[in-house]
Amino acid sequence: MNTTKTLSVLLAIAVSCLVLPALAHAATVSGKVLNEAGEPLPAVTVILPDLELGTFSDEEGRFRLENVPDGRHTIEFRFVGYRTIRSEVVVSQTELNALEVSMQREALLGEEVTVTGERDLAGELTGSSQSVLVLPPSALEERRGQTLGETLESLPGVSSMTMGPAISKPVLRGVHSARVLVLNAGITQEGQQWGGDHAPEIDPFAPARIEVLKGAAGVQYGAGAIGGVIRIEPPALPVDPGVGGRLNTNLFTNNRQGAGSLLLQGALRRLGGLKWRVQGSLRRAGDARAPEHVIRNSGFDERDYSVALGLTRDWMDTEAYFSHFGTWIGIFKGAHIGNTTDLKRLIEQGDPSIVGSFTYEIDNPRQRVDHDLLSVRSRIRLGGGGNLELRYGQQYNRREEWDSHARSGVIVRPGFSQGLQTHSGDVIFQHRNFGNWYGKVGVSGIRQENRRFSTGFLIPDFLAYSAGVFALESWTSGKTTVETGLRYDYRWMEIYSNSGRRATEIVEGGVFTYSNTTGVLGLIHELTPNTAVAANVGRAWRPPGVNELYSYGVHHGTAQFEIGDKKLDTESSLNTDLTLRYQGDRGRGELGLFRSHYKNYITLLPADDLVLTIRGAFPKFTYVQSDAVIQGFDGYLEYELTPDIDTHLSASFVRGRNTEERQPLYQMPSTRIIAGLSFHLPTGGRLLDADIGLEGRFVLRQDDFPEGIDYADPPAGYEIFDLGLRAEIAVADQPVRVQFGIRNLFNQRYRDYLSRYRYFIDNPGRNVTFGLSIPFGQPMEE
Amino acid sequence: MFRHHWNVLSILTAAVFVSAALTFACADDDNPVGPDDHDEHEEDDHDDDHDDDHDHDHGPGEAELITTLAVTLTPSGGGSPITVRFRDLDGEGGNEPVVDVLAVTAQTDYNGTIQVLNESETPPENITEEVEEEAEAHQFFFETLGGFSMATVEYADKESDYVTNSGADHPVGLSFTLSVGSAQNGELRVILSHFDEAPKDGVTRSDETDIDVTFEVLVR
Repeated sequence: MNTTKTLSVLLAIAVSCLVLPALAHAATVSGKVLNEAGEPLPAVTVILPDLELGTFSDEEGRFRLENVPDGRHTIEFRFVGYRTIRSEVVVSQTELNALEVSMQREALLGEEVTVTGERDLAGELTGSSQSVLVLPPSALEERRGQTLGETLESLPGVSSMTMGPAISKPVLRGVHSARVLVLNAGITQEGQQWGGDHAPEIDPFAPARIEVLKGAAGVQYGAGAIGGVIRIEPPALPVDPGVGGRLNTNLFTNNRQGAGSLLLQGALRRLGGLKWRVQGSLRRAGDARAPEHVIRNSGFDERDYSVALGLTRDWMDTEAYFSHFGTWIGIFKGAHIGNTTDLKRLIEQGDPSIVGSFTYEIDNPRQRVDHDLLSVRSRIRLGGGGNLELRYGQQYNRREEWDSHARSGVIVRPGFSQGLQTHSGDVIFQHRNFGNWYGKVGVSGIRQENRRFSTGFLIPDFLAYSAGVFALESWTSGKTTVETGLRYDYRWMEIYSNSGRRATEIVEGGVFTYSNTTGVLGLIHELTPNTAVAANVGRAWRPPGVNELYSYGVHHGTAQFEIGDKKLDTESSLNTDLTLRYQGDRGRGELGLFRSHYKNYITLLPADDLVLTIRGAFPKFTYVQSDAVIQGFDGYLEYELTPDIDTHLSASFVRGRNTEERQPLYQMPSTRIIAGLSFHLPTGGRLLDADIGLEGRFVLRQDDFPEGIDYADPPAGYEIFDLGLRAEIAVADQPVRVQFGIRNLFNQRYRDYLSRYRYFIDNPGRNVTFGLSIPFGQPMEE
Repeated sequence: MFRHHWNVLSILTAAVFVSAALTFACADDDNPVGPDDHDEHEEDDHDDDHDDDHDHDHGPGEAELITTLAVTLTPSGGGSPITVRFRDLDGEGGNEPVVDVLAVTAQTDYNGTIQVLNESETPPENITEEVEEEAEAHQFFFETLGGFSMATVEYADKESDYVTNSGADHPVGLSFTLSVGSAQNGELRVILSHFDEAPKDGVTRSDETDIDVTFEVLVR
């Protein structure tokens, strides 16, 4: 029996334990049927034979099956002249079961029968009561090889804080680092996020999908989800026996970066259908180039890999994922200063005093960062009871920072080196519908230990335990969904004392405990079939970071003597947002308005005092808490002008204010508008798809900044234009994707307010990019 | 049936845990310093690492501590030398530095020398020697300020006094001459510039200042 050929692809929705958003949704299976050319296929029979449910696709290939009970069902697509597709779909109340099915003509009998099921939250009118943006595989493909910050910065409400081309961290609606939680394969990523120059340790080739939730989400995610959550999911594991994979390569001219990634995956016929995937990536770049200078020592050398194993049974899905991230990052030499006078002189001078020619070599000062993450996730189906989700995570983050030079001899060890080990576990029970109610309860625990190696001192060692318990329920009736939840968290932390000869090394330890209760209330209402309104009021909190408690010393690069405060209390936010969504035949859009009220917002403020040192006098800055408000709006609109021309527009506006000091908050992102136009090019023959696009990014100067904190006022606004060409070409029955782009087309000189090098040097100039993505073997799900 | 499930599951889980354990174990090889054994480990590590020219008690990668800058002035016509110090024994922050007041005599020329020390070590570490060794990457700059600006400072050394130098032979400033003349009370600022990438031209300060101290000057 030719079962393998007719065996369809299982949607891997259920494999990953997705928790975002935990909102009840009428259990509907919907989607679109397309032919091999990507055109809609009407009048296709869509049936769930076990349940005796069925429908036909409409003229646009769309279909919709309502009132489908929870569970695992067979689904069939039949159409005369086409191969019947028989697949399995796991229907869940919390997940949007949107399928895209591509049917093949009988005559073209090939292997490529793909059923993709993407929970397209961004596309769903009633997906979440908060603003959620999704970067699906296709969008990620275009951005491969770039850092997480760069990948996300085109999204409305998202900007990135950079330190040259190698280090960039996402800023969501004005907040970043400890206020944004990164969820990697279901596990909260625990790196050393206390430093502004510490970027999230994510292999840019690893995620198949990134979701960005803007706003407080303390009930679902616990401490840290103050400003939002970035959820990174590796690809779903395959089901079909056989081996397949993908090879990606990317080239960038600006820093002469070469990046490549190889992914291999398959499912075994034996061992109970064990699914597996291995993936490895390399990224190597030399010095980046601003339009008029080489940014000396800004290269990086990154090597990452991941392994995943998965198993599916009628009663459970389990997936284990292990990833390693490792990189060397050069720190721009011109940013290495001695004292306040040096910094002021460099700012006045305007141009970097250290110039040189391009090299791949990474010299001191530099960073070495390693991050290992293990995630084991299981979902156990409890028959009529619901689902039980188990998650375990273990992470080890090691960071080494190498000084510019020792006063004598060669540097053989880093100036400081620290390791952070985290164990985390979650148990979540999702109960079945109970009338109009649907929801889940869960507990989670974390153990964290930070250890310094025998090198210089920056932050003290600590051991911390956290525990949380939560319940999240939603109620749906007709076109309205109401969501509510409650969570309690407790954190215990012991800081170890440290002795030393230097004042900056002496720490008096102690035990700190923090606890907090958070809540959420959300509402989604479908106004018309094309529009919906969502509102959310949520709380979130975070304990003060160890740097905020214990900093004591001159901050490198900013020439500030920073002093922590052991008496800092927890910071909490009350976030209110209103989201309007539109989804029509020719376009879609979203407008979000938000206001976050912070209690005990932790910020660094000048203390009107100087610390006299042998290197000169440094202004004293202390960590203080005060009430603050961050508010603004952001949104996007995508519209199909003609069948061949698409346009998009997005805007982000954010303002932050320290309400006690009556002054603006420091380092709020500038207002930005992105507008773009893309043309579909004629296709045919081997050319499956092609388009060319032009995008402009218009960034205004940040005029709302506090006086007396910074040595330099915010830089001027700027406009950057990007050009891109994408094509999909059939080679040996596989869709090969080619991408060519020019970023900063006009080689514009500019300095971004959130660039930490803005005192010293311009942002990078023109960058010509080339990308190739070659699938092979058993087709991959997209 | 359940046994079968668990067999496969345990293989899977075991495989992942073994690989993870290996990785984490490797990552731990460097012996993080425990809270209770900081000093022990530190000493041990240093002993191990003393394979090069380091004979002081801190990691070679650590930015070295400079606690003290001493300026010694000897009247060129003879007389007893005067030494003033900027001293910050616990490094940046903590206790305030102690800065001496420099008392000089009008119409007098002095021969000056500079000493840089780390007095937090026992015995004090002489960083002057390191400046000498890296003479091509260091230079002292002197500024006479306020009423003292009439006084002039001239370099009295060259890189070639300390090292076999390649290229231009620029001054270092470890020894210098000070002519007080008719200057009045004011200040003397002493700066040590470190030249890493930017070339040293003998005139321009670098963007990396190792030392920047100012002494109050009384002229008698």
